[in-house]
Amino acid sequence: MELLQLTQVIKKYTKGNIEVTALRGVDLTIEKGEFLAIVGPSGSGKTTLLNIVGCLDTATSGSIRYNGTELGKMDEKALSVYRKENIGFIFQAYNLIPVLTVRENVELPLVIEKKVSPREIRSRVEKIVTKVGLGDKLDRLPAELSGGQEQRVSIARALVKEPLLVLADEPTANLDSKTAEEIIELMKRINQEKKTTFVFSTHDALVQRYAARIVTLKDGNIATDERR
Amino acid sequence: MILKIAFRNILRHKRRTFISAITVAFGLMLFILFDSLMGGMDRASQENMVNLTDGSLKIYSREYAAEKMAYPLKYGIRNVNPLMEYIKTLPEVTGITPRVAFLTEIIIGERSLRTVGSVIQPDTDPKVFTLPKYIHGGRFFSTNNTQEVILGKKLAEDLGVGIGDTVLLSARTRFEANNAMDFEVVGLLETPAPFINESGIFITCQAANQFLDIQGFVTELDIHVPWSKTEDINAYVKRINIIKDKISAQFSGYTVNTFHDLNSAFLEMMSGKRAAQSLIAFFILLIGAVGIVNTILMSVYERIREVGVLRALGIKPKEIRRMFLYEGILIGLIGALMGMVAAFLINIWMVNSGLDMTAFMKNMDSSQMPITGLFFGQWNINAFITALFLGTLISACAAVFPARKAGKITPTQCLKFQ
Repeated sequence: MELLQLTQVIKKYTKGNIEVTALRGVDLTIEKGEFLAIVGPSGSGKTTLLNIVGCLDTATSGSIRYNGTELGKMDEKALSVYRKENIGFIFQAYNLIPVLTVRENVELPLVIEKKVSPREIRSRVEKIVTKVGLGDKLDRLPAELSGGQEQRVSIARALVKEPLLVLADEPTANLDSKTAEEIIELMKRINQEKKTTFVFSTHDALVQRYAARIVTLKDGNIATDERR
Repeated sequence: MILKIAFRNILRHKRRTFISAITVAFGLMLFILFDSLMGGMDRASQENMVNLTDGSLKIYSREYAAEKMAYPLKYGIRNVNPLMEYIKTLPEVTGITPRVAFLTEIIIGERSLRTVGSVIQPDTDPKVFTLPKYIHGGRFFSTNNTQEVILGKKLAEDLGVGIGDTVLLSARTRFEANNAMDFEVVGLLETPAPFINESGIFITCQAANQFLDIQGFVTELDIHVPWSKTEDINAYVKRINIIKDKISAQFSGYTVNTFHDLNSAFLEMMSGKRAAQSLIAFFILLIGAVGIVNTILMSVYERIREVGVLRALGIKPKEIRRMFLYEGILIGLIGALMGMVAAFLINIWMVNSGLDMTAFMKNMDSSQMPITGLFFGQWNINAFITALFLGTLISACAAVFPARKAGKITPTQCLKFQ
């Protein structure tokens, strides 16, 4: 079932006085429940594509449809609601709030939303944090965790609202290969259990092994689109 | 959650918070200590007026009051006795004494000085004025001895006379005749009122009968109403004004002035000083505010990705603004508390030991100031409350600008995958 459809997406920006075309008419359809890796050399447009899909940036032209809704016509406020309700983000640098504990970081999206009771928040947070393997570290601060553990917290935070789509930019780039494999295995497990769609960029060949579909970008175009 | 994040961020950067808070603390501490010192000076000046120069209340004849700057001996108080008897019946009055002010010239060899002398009654005067307490050398009048004078210590030093020396006083009598008489210096006064130290000349009624030919005539009656340390000036003035009204209603033909009426210009000047003090403290606090602006701005730039995450998670710009505003307020509160504690500790010393400003005041014309160089502080709970309020308010104002800046950050600006 189709979740996201990009048609002839072009993204241009200026760097100094030079106009750079980061995406040159990308056509891409992402199905619900996919576990998709975007790969390619530096400057190929991976990060730009993720920013546009996550509504953190806008396309210069082309169409982006999410569940049948055209995102290109939404204003910043509507995009913000879309982002909040549908997408979980996982960052390379984790971006946890350093003064909040693991529990507080993970519960933050639910607390802000104010739609779930405190008891429900508590139970959901404990469940998801246990799922990412940090059930015994609920009251630790990010500074007391290893990089891999921080990324697990960031995954828990992205998933606690049960979004349909999770975007991750180089989620394992700051981790050693063993931890990177653990993280990608965790993401894969959640993808299979909850049918959450994962789209992530990576350079790591080990991580790519887990992807069910690999889209390779080259010079702003899709060079290959390989399903396994 | 927002308050929690703000509070923890304050604790996270302890050194930075401390440095910002300390500028606020310093400003507020100075504010409180200025207030204490000024309050102490005001109080000491007012007490000097009541205890040494004017009494709580002063009664003149109307004619005398109209020309009192010329010290005319022709206008005395008529019917002194019924007036005194009535005043003695007033429960709050603990002392009443007659005095006569007269223009005189004190002559020692070739040196002389024109000044205003006071005729006092040695048995009743100490019930209104505390002169005997400040005799530094010699003694107070033991009897109505006709040939004795007490001088301000500074005046005696300037004239080069001491205890046991003889000085010549010259004046016009009540009947406009010139007279001069020798007096033996029996006491020297060193009071907290510089005016007395520098030009005070006191003789007894008995002496004045011969010297000024006054024969029981008095130009003023001075009244003492006790003033406790805990009673503030407004309450005291209100109380003595009631007595003033009672006397005025009972006896016409007299002018009754409180010490406050007599020194209104000076007391107004002191209020002016207080406004200047507030202005100084305000500028010091502004420096503190700049520190807070800087700290919060640093915090905003440092936490730009954190702000982005919060915005992406759905926190509204106004809540982001509020978070940084809370941080500013918390720094202000910490600063205010630090300033209050420091001011409290220093003020204990200022209230008990006083601050010696003699060196500072040496070149000032202290005759215009009813107070000497040792200044004591005063407790004023209102200054502490104001400091707390001011510190918090200024910090909140200082945080508005960086908080607004933080509120304008969009999640896309700081969260874009890079």
